[in-house]
Amino acid sequence: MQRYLARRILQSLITLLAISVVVFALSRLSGNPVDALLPDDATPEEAAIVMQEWGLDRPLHIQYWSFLRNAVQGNLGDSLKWPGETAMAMVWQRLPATLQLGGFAIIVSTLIAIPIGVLAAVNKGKWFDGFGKLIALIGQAVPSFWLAIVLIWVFAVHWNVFPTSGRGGLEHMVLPAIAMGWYQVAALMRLTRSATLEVLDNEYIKLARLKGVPEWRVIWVHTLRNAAITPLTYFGVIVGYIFTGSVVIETVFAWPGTGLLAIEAIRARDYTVVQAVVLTFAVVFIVANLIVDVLYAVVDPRIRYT
Amino acid sequence: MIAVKNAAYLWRPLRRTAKSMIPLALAVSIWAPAALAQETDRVVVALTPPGGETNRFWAATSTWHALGQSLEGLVAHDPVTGEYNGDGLATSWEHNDDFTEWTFNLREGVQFHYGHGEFTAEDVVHSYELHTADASVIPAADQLRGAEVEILDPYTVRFTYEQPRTNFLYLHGGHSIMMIYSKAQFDQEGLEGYDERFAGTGPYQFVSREPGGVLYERVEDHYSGIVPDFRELELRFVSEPSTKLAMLLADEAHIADISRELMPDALDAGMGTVESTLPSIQTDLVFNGLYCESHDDRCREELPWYNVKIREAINRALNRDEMLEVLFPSGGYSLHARYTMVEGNEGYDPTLEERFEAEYGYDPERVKQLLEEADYPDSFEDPTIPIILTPMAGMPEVALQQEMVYQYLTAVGLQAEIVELDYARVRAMGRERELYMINPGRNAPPRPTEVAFRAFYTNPGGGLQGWEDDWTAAKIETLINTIDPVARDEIAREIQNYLFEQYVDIPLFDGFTQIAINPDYVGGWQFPGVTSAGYSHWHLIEAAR
Repeated sequence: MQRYLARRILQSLITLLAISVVVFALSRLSGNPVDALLPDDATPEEAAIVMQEWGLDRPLHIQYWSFLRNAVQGNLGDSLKWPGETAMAMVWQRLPATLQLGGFAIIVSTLIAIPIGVLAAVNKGKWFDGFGKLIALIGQAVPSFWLAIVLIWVFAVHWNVFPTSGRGGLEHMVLPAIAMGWYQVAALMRLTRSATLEVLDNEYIKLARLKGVPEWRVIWVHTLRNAAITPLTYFGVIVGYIFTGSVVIETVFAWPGTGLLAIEAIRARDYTVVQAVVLTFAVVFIVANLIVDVLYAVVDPRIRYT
Repeated sequence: MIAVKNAAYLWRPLRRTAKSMIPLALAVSIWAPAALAQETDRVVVALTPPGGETNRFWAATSTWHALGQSLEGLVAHDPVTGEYNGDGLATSWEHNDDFTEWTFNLREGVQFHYGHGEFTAEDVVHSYELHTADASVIPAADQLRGAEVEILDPYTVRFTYEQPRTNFLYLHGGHSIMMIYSKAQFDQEGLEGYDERFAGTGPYQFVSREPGGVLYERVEDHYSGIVPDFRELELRFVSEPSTKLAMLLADEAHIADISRELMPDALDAGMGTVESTLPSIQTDLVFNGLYCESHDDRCREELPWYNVKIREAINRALNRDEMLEVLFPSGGYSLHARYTMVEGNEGYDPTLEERFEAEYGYDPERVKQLLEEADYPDSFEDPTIPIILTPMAGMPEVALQQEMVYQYLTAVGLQAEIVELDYARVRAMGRERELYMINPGRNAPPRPTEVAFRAFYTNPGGGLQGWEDDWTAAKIETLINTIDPVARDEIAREIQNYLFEQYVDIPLFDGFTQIAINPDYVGGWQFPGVTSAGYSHWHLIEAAR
């Protein structure tokens, strides 16, 4: 297991290095921050002064080397749009909000998707199964930004039940979590349903029933535990979707997390913050997938890593 | 598989969870509206995010609407007329005969917020250094730089330049402004002190900044004697227009700078609007790429719009009245005859307004005649007229405007082409002097004539205006070096007339800043529209009576 972990961590570092090259190159291809951050009537001379001040007048390979050398020490540079702040400070400041919303969205998605998936499998071909399919269809077909705006108009403007936007208590998280998580509900539910159907056909389930084990225990304990491996695989993907999805959802709900930070930084071509956000997303994605791989072994004793 | 006859027991764990959620749901539904009812003395304003969320005014553009509640420039302006007055930190000012020396007499007894001491000339010098440093990105920083700033006594400060600064007050009270920071705070706490909680001198003082918002509270004993109606002023930065509208309709914001396309929805829902007293924005289309001073090898005489007949034809191909109706159905806009020409400014010539319809008005027949005279398209190597379609902050109508222009031009036989570019790229191409296209332009807020001429018709200007020729360059240089007001007015008028007759760009509309209010909370707000965001005088937001 230790050897496996060491290998995965090494692979992760190589992945991060590759991502750093890609994000560095892509952000430079998107244009010069001076063009976005200076006023319309700034002269070419003023632009040159600011370029020098920000270190953007140096050759690209020197900029990258400088970026990489600082990055390994945890310094991803100073923000251009938020003067006086480092890029990582901006990310650390906003990350808790994204984790809070993303975590809540994952919990809500899971609490909704798994039971519906299990019940849809148990009631295969009946109305509840159809209902589950409908939920999945809508969740996968509806764009999250549209869903977000509709939720705001219905629940915040017309019914005044939840706030429209901003970060605050639990009531502020409900609408963005639904908008963020519905797609995941659909995917997770379908995976759970198919995995449950497969497990329900196994001999040990039949044996449990013949032995008189209560039906709820057969379904929610014996079946679910064995059916959980497939959806568990998907959790690594969910974490990725939640973080990338936060870019849209946080913008619509003015939720001050890393997704909104990414959009603001991209608009301003704040290279350093864009790089910091993307690398942070990459680290979270990699760590989440590593945790999922380790959890396989916990959930399924047959899996052993060497 | 054994069929499950009665699955009711399967729901048992879910029922338990659902029951436990009921009190929570009730608590949430009661809690959300109650939170607002407690904040009646806090006015919440939903705004487009500023250029930089920072307390360092000089380090980001478009931060006026986020910091102008607390920071002040030396020169105040009247909330109705927009004229500079002595109600602010400087009570009066004078200049020498050639406008190279400007002396400001400072108000005595003004206290910086949070006990950072009295405002004096030292704070002016300190603020000048901040705003003219290399990292400063304020508009027209080049106009501010180059001064020797001298403290004559604690309440008198003098700026001395080598060249005349006839529009110097604009740098202290207009769109491009030097805000006054406390030197005492800087000496004590450094820039970090500003980041944490800067001290200004305005009627509101800074309380805190969170991601996506700033909170201010009123100063009870402000030197102006003004006590704002609202005890607290909260700014929330929201980029999605529909979210801002939702906040307004749900009573979460009391004022919102929603886009013009959503304004009718706000009005239909019972909201109101307040408007700047003066036009705050001018929009035009610009014949860019005419870098044609005699020494400039970037001049491309083969461009169709190098020919004045083509420029006139393009101007006359547009039905501006129709555009006005389509683009601004809720009003607030009017035609204008000359980019940079503002009533009351130097060189204002009302006869140009009178001549506009006859010389620029919609006339397809005249267009065809002009194109024949110019032998268009046959005598042009590339007769294409590229029209830039680019998103411009605060101007949602630009896309439709450009598409309409395309339709008008093609309808009369001009070979137009839409080119989609992001705004930063347009800026970059303009600065690199490679913008051989027709781009949308704006003068917001309308600048003093000389400042506008420098920005729009000189090399190096801002890059978004392309007209340059020897006559214009020489005349603008003469204007800059002329100090007699009558002579200046005459020169500026001469330039305006020349630019008008040369059809150097495509004048479109004058507009006022509009902002939506919830009339249950906000009774009114007087501001002239002379700052970069259009809004100012936040302390004049009136509570609904």
